[in-house]
Amino acid sequence: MDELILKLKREIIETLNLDDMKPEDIKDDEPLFGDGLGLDSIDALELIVLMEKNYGIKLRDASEGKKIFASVKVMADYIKDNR
Amino acid sequence: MSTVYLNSFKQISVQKPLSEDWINNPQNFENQKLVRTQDPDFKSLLPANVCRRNGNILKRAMIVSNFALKESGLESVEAVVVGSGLGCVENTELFLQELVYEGEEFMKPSYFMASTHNTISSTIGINLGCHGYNSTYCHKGVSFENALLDVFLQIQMNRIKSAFVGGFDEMSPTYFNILQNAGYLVGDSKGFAGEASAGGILSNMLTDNTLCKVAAVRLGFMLNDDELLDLLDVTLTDAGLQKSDISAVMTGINGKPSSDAIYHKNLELFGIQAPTLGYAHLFGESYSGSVYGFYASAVSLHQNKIPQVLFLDKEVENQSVQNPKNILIYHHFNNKDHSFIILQRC
Repeated sequence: MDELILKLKREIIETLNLDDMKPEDIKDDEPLFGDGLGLDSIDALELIVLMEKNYGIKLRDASEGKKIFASVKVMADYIKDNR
Repeated sequence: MSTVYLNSFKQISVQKPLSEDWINNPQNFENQKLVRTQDPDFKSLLPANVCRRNGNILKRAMIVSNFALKESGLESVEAVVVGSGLGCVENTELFLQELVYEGEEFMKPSYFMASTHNTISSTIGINLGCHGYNSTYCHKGVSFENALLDVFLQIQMNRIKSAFVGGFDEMSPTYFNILQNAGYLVGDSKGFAGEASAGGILSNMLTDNTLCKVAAVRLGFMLNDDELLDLLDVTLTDAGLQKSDISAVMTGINGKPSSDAIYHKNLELFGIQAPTLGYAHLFGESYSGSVYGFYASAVSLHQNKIPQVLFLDKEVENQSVQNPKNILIYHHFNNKDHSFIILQRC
């Protein structure tokens, strides 16, 4: 599980061009949107593509994304349960 | 009809960005074929999320428009019109490469969104909070001139009072290689390929910061000598000038023998007894590169002196023309598209 979280953090940094960040800068439970990492709706699109491309998970319902992208840990849990 | 003033103009280029340092300390790119832009520190000038998401050409566009608006003294503009031969070509390449790499299964949304030509003017519009007229002219070597003509006519006709106008182009290594393989920018050409990111505010208001007046803009296509002379006459008439009123002629002479020969032939045809100027040896060649000829002419009029570095005849010493009043900008693209612009000191 820890490996998956670390992998996800690296992928998020690469996909969203978070050049100044390292995986350890993103806390497992930190909100990705809003006050946490400060991502926005365009970033959400990138994460949806990331989920499909890297893990074969298609998010069809936009409202699903809000829950799944709550934090890296929630994302990892969702990937584990659905791939 | 309203008078059209150029209230500000800013550049990011192969020379020192956001500066007129090129006048006294021009960087020399002799023997180079491709020179990329000297970017300012994006992170100190733009929000972090803007920096990470946008390609360089968009970041340059936002910074140039921010600085131009600030310097103009205006609070906002009613329109944004830019010229771009290639648009956001680097993002287009990334987007296409990714599509190919992923077997057309996936695409990166950010690359896709920032891969169109019109992304530049729309990004500037959002950045300046301008929700009015927004347009991009993609006409290869006359893209900037078309954008300028649009704004010039709209202000003259009182349809709008102010606008941002600019020229933006990238020269990616991939595109440069394609040009070279196709036979461009090789052989005996002495010039170099550069990039364009420059623009400013035009309005019907004379302000303390106004650089100059835009007195005339005319474009022509596929003209014979008589038609070209007629176009020049009409341009001069628009500005209420005679040939003898022209202080200097700014050209796109760029070291490419076939193109320069056309300039020399047509300059002789025009019969204007004034020094010939150039900008391509300083800023390089790109589809929208002529924006720097416009910029350098405007700066010269504002400073009441044409700097030595713009003169193409290096054998004559102390050529700087003091107190220039009218600069004619003549540009041709492949000897098909021709443009005349007259800038006038205020």
